[in-house]
Amino acid sequence: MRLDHIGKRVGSGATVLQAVSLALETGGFHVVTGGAGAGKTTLCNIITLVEPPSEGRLRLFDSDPYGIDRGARTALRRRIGIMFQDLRLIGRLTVRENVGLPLRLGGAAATRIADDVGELLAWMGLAHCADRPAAALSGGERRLVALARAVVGRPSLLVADEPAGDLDADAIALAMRVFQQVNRLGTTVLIAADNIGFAAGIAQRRYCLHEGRLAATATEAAVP
Amino acid sequence: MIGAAPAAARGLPVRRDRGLRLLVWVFALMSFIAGLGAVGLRVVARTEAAWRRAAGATMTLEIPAEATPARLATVLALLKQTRGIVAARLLTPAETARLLQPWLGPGAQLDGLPLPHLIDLRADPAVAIDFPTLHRELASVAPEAKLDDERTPLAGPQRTARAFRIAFAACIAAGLVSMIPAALFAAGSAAHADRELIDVAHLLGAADRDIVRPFVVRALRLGLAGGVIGALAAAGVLVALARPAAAFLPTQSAAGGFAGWPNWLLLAAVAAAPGIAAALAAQAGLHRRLAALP
Repeated sequence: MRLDHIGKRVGSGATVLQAVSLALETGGFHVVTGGAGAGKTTLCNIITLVEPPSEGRLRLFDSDPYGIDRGARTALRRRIGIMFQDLRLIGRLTVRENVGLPLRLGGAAATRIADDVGELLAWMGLAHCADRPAAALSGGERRLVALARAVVGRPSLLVADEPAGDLDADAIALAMRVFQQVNRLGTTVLIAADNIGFAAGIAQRRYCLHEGRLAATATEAAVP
Repeated sequence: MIGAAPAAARGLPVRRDRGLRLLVWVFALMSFIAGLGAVGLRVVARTEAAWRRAAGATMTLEIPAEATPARLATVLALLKQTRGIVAARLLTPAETARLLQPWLGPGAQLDGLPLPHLIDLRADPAVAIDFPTLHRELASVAPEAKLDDERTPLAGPQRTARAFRIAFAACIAAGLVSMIPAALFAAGSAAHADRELIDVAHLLGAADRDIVRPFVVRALRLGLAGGVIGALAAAGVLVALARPAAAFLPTQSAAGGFAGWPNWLLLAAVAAAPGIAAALAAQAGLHRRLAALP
């Protein structure tokens, strides 16, 4: 995945991102940091095709996502797991239904959905709330459910915007185990967060955004 | 043995909105009104046709004896060009004498009498002749001509029938046209209630057709349920009216407008209309919403 001089303007022309260029190695574990308003969420949105860039060139899985037809762009989206900053769970659906949504939309068999979702929820310690509506969960549980939904389809690229959010220390450790596990299975991981202390030992490459510009990059030794 | 493929769970788990179920009754009312209007229009058309047939398909035009052959030819040409008259034939003197025999007696000598010329006209019962225009044109070429016009008394009932026709057409229009905003409301409400699901499904890689399909299917079911209820209610009214209507309608044929397979076809079309309208509205609305997403 490669971004070349990506820029994003919103509303009356305020610049949120400016000439951001970076490349995510396949199978790598990447972190984007930056303070509030640095442009992390916008960057995640552009990478996950939630919104198009105003300028620059985006390459995703060797394709120009905005140079292909809508159907092909939909196919690209299926290869991306997204953990939105605002989670975007469907409150009236149960945890099981929320997590199984990507598989369901991909046309998976009902038995496979039940098996995969059940196994994942059990592994993440969410089996007890599998049949509760998402709206009835605590903030931390909702965040873990959003993470489960992002990884259940074994995506090629996983983008998580502020995954630690309101998680306690145990839940953060659990989330990190999930990120590490999917990364070991070949998924490219990109985490965007204000503070990356929780991922400091894992990230192979760190990018720092400041006022919409890529301020610095650093390479770290991967910790298996 | 080949095992059955596991069932795919494709499709969005769309919200079951109880509020939208009220729209079933709105669709039912519209179908009921449109159904009655459609069948009423058919009954009026059959009644008018029966009146026309009852008034007779033939007429006679009498032209004074002194009319020249050229004038007679002009009158015949005029009649043949008149809409609703399918044949005009000048009776021979022998045919005219035979017609006059009952009034003049069997032994009457007609040779010296100035017998009028009679033209036998055959009319198309399905076409209304414009008699005022015909009278005016006849007066210009043969002022003394007298049309044995049995249809003139039909003018009043035909005016009444026209009023009924307009009223029934208005019922159909009101029923069908008001389905459109109801269908748009149903589609808009469903899409608004599930807007988060639509957006998330799109971002997770759902194809547009997979997002749209469950909304279209649900709108179709909603509209069809209302349409069938309304059409059944209209059918019930028709069955109840058929017997008393036979007493005041001019012929069995007109009364038959209350029954028969054309009515059931009309009601089936009316039953299907809300479903089709709702499904089309849902499809258009969802595609418009999805088109706004990247």
